[in-house]
Amino acid sequence: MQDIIQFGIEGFPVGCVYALVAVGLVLTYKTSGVFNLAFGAQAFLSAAVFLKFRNDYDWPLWLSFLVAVVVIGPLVGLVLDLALFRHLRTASWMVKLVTSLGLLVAIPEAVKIWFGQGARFNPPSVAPLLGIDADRVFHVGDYNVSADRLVVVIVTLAVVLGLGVMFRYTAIGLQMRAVVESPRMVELAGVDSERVSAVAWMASSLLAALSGVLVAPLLTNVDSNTMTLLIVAAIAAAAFGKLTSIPLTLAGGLLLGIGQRVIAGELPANSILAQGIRPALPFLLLFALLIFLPGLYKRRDVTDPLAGVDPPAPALAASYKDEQLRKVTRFTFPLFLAVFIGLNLFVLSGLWVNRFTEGLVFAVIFLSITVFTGLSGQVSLGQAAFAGIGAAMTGQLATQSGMAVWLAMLVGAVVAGVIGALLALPALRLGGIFLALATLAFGLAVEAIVFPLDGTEEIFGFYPNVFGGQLGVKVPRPQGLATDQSFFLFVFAIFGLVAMLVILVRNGTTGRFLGAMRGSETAAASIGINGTRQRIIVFAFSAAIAGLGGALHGMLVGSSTYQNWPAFYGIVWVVLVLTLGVRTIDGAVNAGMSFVLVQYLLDDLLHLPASLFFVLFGLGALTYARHPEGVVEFQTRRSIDEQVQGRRLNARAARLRSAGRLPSEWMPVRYAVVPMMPLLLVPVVGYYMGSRPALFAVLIGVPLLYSFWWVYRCYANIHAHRGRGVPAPVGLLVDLAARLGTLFLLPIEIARMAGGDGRDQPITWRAGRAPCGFVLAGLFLWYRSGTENAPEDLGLLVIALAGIVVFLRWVAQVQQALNRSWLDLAEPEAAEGDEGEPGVAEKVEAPPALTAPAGGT
Amino acid sequence: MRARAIAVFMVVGLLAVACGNEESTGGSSDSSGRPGVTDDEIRVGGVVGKTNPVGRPYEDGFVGAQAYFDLVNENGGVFGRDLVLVAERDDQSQASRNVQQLRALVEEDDVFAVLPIVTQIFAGAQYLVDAGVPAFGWNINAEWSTGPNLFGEKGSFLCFDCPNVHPAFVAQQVGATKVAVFAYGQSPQSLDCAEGMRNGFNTYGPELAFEDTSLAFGFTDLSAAVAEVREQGVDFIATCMDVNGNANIAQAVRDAGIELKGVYSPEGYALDVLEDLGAKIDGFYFGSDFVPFEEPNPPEGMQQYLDAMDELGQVPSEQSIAGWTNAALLVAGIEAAGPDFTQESVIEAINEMTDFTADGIRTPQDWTTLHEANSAAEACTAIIQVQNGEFVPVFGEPGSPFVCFEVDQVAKTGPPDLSSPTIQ
Repeated sequence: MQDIIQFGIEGFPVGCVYALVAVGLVLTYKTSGVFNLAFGAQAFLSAAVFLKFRNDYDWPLWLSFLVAVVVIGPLVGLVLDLALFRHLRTASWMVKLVTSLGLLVAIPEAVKIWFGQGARFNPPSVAPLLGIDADRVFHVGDYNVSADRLVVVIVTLAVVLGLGVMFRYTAIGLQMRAVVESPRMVELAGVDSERVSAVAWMASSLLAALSGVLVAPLLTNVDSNTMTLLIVAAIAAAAFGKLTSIPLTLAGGLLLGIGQRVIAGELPANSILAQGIRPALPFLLLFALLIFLPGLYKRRDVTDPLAGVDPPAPALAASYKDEQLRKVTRFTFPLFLAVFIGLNLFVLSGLWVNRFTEGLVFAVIFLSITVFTGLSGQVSLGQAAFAGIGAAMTGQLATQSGMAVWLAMLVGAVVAGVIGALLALPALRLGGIFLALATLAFGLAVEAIVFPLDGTEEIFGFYPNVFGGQLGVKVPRPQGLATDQSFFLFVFAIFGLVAMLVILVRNGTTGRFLGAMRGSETAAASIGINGTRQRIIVFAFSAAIAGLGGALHGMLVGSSTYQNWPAFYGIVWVVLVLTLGVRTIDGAVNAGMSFVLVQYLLDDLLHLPASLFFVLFGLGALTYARHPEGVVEFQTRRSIDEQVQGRRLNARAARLRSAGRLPSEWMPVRYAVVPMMPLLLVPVVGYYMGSRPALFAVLIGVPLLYSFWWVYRCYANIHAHRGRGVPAPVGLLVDLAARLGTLFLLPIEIARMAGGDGRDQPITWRAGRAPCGFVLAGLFLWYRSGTENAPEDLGLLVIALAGIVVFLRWVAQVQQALNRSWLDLAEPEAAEGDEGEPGVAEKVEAPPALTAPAGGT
Repeated sequence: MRARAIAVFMVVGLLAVACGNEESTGGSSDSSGRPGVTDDEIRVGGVVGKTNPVGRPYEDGFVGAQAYFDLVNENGGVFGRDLVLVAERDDQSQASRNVQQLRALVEEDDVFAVLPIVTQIFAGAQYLVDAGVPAFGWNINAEWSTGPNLFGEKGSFLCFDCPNVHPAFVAQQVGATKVAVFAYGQSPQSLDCAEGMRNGFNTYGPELAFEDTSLAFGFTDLSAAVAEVREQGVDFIATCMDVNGNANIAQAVRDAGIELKGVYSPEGYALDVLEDLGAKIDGFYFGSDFVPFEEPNPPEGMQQYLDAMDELGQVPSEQSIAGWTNAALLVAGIEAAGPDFTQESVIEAINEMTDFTADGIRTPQDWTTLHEANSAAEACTAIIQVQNGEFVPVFGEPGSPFVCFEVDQVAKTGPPDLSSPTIQ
C-alpha cells in the first residue's frame, strides 16, 4: 500500500505533464477535427522564443512570457487557421494529417535557423509569475515537488476544469464542437463558422505555447527533438481519452505518469527488460490503446455526411499524353535511361556515382511508401524501422553466418515483410490517422527496444544482436561490386525490379482491390473483396521493400548502426514522398534523388543552413491539399497538358492561316522562347571559361533586347484589344525598372482581357511565382557571395540554369495563353468546342480507382 | 516499353552479381603519395556534424584546427609550405553523408590529410583506412581503432569496458560510501560507459549500491531513481549521460533534498554549459583528457590555444581543442617525416612517436601503442569540479592536473588499488 501511495504521488506531476500536452492535442482535435502532430513544434517555437528573449535579450520574465505565449501562441493559431486549416475543414483525414506532418517537420527547422541547431539549457521558470520562488521545493509528506512541477499540476488542473466548463456551459464551446461536425449546419443556425474556427485554433495554439513554456524547465532544456518526443508520448494519454474526452485524457496522462513510475520501481533498473520497456512504454501503450480501445478504432473522424467526399485522385499524368507525345516518350525515355547509365558508368566520378546510387537506394525505400500510401491510401510512419530491420538482418547473416550477402539481403527483406504482416494483423481494424499513429508507435518502440540489442544481454536463453553495439554491423557488398559503377548497376537493377513489381501490383488484381477499398471498404466487401488479405499483403510488401532498401543502404555505406534509422526519419520520408508524388515510380525516384541531391545543393554548394532542406519539404507538404497527386505528378501533368494544348493551338492556327483568318497577334511559342535561349549559355560560359565580357554582352544583350521587344508587343496587343489597361510603354517601363513586376503584371493583363471577353482565364498571376522565386533566390545568393558562406560556383551555375529554364517556361506559358486568346477571339465557335475536349480539368473528374489507368511510371 | 527498358538494365545489373561477398568497398589515393601538396601549401579538409542530436558545437573543431594552422603559418609553415584548411564539410550526422563527405575531401578537394573529423557517426572510417589517408579527429567513435592512419585526439583505441578508475577515485577521495550509476538504455555508448564504471566500482569501491541503465532520452521521470538513491543511502552518483541527462539528475537530486558527496560525469566539461546551467551543477565533477582551461600554470600549448581563442573571440571548447591537437599532431608528423614527406611516411612517423603532448596540452601519447588494446596503458584524466559557478581543477597539482593510473586494456584490469595515482 505504501508503494502504491508512493508511486501515485511521485507519478502524479509527471502524469500532469503528459496530460497538459495531451489535453492540448484533444482540444485541437475537438475544435478543428485535425489531429495536430505539429503541436510539439508549436510548443517548441514558444519555448524557444521564451528562452531567447528572457536569457539572451534579458527581457523581463512577464514580457517574455507575454510575447512567447499570449502573442505568438494565438498568432500562430490564427495564421494556421487562415492560411491552411480553415480550407481543410471538410477535407479528408489524409490531407489534414499530411498538412500537420509538414508543419511538424518545417516549424522546428525554421525556428532552428534563428534559435540555433543545438539544445539550449536552463529554460526560465514561470513559477515566479505565480509568486512562487523557482528554486523552492514543496514537501508532501516524505515527497518533494519542485516549483516547476507544481506549476504544471496547477495549470493542468485549471486547464482541464476550464475547458470542461467551456465545452459544457458556454456557447463558444458548443459552437466549436459543432463547427467540426458540420460547418454548413452551424452556418444555417446563424453562427459565423470561420470566426469560431479561428477562435478554436487560437485557443489550442495558446495551449501549445503554454505547454512548451511550462514543460521546458522540467526537460531542463529547449530542444525540438525532446519536445516532439514528449508530444508523441502524450498521444497515448489523448488516445485514452478517445481524442475527445478531456477528463479521460487527464486520467490517461496520470495513468501514464504513474505507470512509468511503477515500472521504474518494479523492474530491475539495469535489466534489458527495463532498458527496452521504460523508454518505449508510452508508445507500447499507444499501440495497445489504438488496437484494443473500441471507442478509438470504431470512431469516425467526422460525422458531416459531406465531409471527406473528395473527388477521386486524378488519373496518372501518363494517361494525358496524346499519341504524338507517346511516340516521343517511347524514344526519349530509353534514351534518357541509357544516357543516365552511361554517364554513371563511363563519365562521372566515383563520388558522383555514389551520390546517384544513394538516391536510388532511397528511391527503393520510398517505393515502400508508394505501395503503402499510393496503393492502399493509408499512411505508415514506421518505415524507418523496417529499413533498419532489413539492414541489420542482412549484415548479421552475411557476417555472422557467412551467407552470401545477396541472399542475406533477400532474407532480410522477407523478415521485414513478415514483421510487416504480423504488424498488419492487430492493425487490421485501424485506418486513417489511427493507423498512422499505430505505425509511428511501432517505429518508436522498435527503435527503443529492438535496435539497441547488441548481443550482450540474455533474453530467455538467447543473446539477441541487432546492430552489434557501437560499431554497428558490417554490411558487405556482393562479390564483384566493390567499385562504385558496378554497385550502381546492381542498385539500379534492384530498383528496376522493385519498380516493375510495384507497377505489376498496381495494375494487377491487388492494386485494383486496394483501389476499390480506398474508395469504400464496405462497397469493396460487398463485391467479394477480402480486405483482410489485401491489407496483410500491402503491409508485408511495403515492409519488405523498405527492408530491401535498408540492406542496400548498409551495402552502400559498408555498415549500419542503430543511429542510422531513427523513427522520425519515417515522418520525414512520408512528407517528402507525399510532397513529390506518392502514386508513381517517378515520385519515389524524385524523392530519393531530392533527399540526396537537394541536401548536397543546399549544404555543399550553396552553404545554406541544413535546416532549409526540411523547411522546404515540410512547407512543400502543405501543397498536398491542393495537389494530392504530388508536385512532380502535377507538374508533369501540367507540362503534358501544355504540350497537348500547344499542338491543338498550332493546328487551329494552321487551319485559320489557310483560311486567311489567322490574327496578326499570333506568334508561335518558339518565336518567343528560342531567341532568349542564349541566356542559358551565360552561366555555363561563366563557370567553365570565367569572365568573358564581350561574349557575355552578346549572350545577354541580344536576348534582353529581344525580351523587351516581346514584352512591349504583348502589352501593345492586349491594350489594342481591350482599349484600356496597361499601355505598352508603361509595361515596358515596368519591365525595364523591374522584371519582377512583369512576371505578374503580364499574366494579370492577359487574364483581365479574357475576363473582359467573358472567356476562361488562360493564365493567372500565379504563373509569376516560380520565376520570381528564382529571382529572389538569386539576389539572396548574390548578397551571400560577399560573406564567408559564399556559395560555390557550381551551386550558382545550377541555380542560374534552373532559374533561366523557369523563366523561359514562363515566357512559353504567357505566349501560349496569348495565342489561345487570339485564336479564341478569331474563332469563338472553336473555343467553345475546345472546352469540350478532354483537358486536365475534365480528367480530374475521371473514373474511380477500380478502373485506374495502367502505366505511368 | 518502359518496363522492358528497365528489365534490360536490370538483367545487365544482376549479371554483375556473383555469389560471394566483397571484403572492402574500395577507396583510392593519389599515386604520388602526397596529394594536395604544392610548393606553397599543404591542403587539409575536415568533416563535422554541425547538425548533431546532442546539440554540441562540433564545428568548433574547425576553429581549433584553423587557429593552430594560423600559428604555424605565421612562423613560416612546414617546410616552407602553408597549411590550408580548404574544406569544412558537414555530414549532418548521417552515415551515408559522412562517407560521401570524406570521399569528397579525398577525391574532389584533393587533400593531403583529413582533419578534423568531429562527428556522431564515423561511417567513412573504413574508406579512409582503405585510402591510406592520414585522418585526425575527436575520438568518440569506436571506429577510430580500425586503422593505423586514424588518429584520435586522445588516442585511437578506447577501452569502454575496462575498469573506469577515475569515478571510483573521485568517490574514494570525497569519502563516499555507496554509489549509483546512471546511463541511457537506448545508447550502446552510454551502456558501454556504464559497464566500465560498474567494473571500476566493483573492483575498487565504494560499493555500487544502485544502477539505473534504463533511462530514456529527453523527458524522463527520475523519481524512482531518486527514491532508490535515498533508500540505498547512496552518497555519490556517476553518470554516463549527456549534458541534458546530467542536468536532469542534478535537478532531481536537488528537488529531493538529497545531500551527495559528489556527482561524476565524463561528459559536460564545457564553458557554454556552465554558463547555461551554472549553479544547477554546482559540486559536479567532470573528467577531461586535456589540461583544463582553468589550469593556473598552463603549459605552452594551452596558453597558445587560449590566446588564439581569445583573439578569435571564441569560447574554448572540447571540440576546438581537439581540432587544435589534431593539427599539432599532423604538423609534428610532417616534420618528423622530413621534407619529402608522403601520406605513408607521415603515418609511419606519427606511429613511431612516443611522447607527443601538443606542447603540454595532453599527457604524453605513445603512438606505438595507441591503436589497439595495450596491456600497460596509462589512463590519465584531469578532474574538474564546479565550485560556485566556476570550473576548478581538483586532485592534481598546479601545472600537473592529470590523475593517472596504469590499466591493462587486454586483461581489462586496473591497478591493485587507487591509493597512489601518478600526478602529471
